[in-house]
Parts: sequence; C-alpha cells; structure tokens
Amino acid sequence: MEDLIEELTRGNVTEVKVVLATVVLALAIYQLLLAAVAYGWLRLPFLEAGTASWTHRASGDAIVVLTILVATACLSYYGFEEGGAHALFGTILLGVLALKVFVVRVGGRLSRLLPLLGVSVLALFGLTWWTSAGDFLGVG
Amino acid sequence: MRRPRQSLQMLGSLLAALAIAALAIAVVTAHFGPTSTAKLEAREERLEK
Repeated sequence: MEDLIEELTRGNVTEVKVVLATVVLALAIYQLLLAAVAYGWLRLPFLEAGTASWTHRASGDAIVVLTILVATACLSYYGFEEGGAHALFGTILLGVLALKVFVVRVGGRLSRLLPLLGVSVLALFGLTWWTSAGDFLGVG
Repeated sequence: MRRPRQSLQMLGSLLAALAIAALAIAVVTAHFGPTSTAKLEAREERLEK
C-alpha cells in the first residue's frame, strides 16, 4: 500500500495530502454556508433552501470520498503511532463523520443532531488540518 | 430580486464548490513553488554525489 501511494503521488505524498486536505477544509467551510441557507438561518436572494440542501449533500459526498483518500494515505504511509494530536483529531473526525452520515441516512428524530454534528465535523476538520497541513504550510 | 430557476441554482452552487476547490489547489501549490520536493531532493542527492 505504501508503495502504491508513493507511486500514485510520484513521491510527493505529503504535498498531495496537504493539497487534498486543504480542498476538504475549504469545501467544509462552504458546507457551513450551504447548511445555514438550507436551515433558513441565512437568506440569500439567489439560492433556495432546498437547492442549498441538495448541494450540501453533493458536496458532502465529495468531501467524504476525499477524506477517506487522505486518511488512507496518512495511515498507510505515516502510521498512527507518531501522529500525536493530528492522529487523535483525525480519529475523532472519522468517528463523528461516520455518525453524521448514519444520522443523515436514518433521519427521524436524530436529524435534530445534524447541526451540532455538522459544526463538530467542521471544527475537527480545522483542527486536523491545523496540526498537519497547517504545520507544513507554516501557518499551524 | 427574482430567484433564478432551480436548475441554475444547482449549477451555480456546484460551480461555486468547484471554484473553491480550484482556488484551494492554486493557493497551496503556489506555496510549494514550481518544483516538487521529490525533485528537489533528487537534485540535492545528485549534487552531493
């Protein structure tokens, strides 16, 4: 697996990981805006709540795929043991993200938890990025 | 202001997501510079030899 990742990234594992993680964080911030429109907390003259909700789902699917790719590269190439705070935040992030996807699928009364889960996922994306990509880019 | 058609809203919001992703890629790769770390390391190794 390690060789495959190195080959796919042409030896630039960290750089590719940093780029993908930054894309995920940027899209996660956009998700917050879309969720605010979808819940009616923010009213925009050019975007309806239903459409914002649809885009939130579509963009969220892309985020999940990218997150799994980054996590796979991270765990198989760097391992877990020496990850420190980054590994801890990353693990909690994957757990909360999985819980959010589960709540979205199940629906019902659990849906009330979605705003809290969404904000938690965004905060965890921020912390996970800050403790790895942020460090690498000199801003963490 | 009248809202655009739903299909246009969908397209616009998806294009906004793509633009955000492209901007993030551009900003980070600009930070790395034109040469990859692997190439820089290979060049350093060649110079050392």
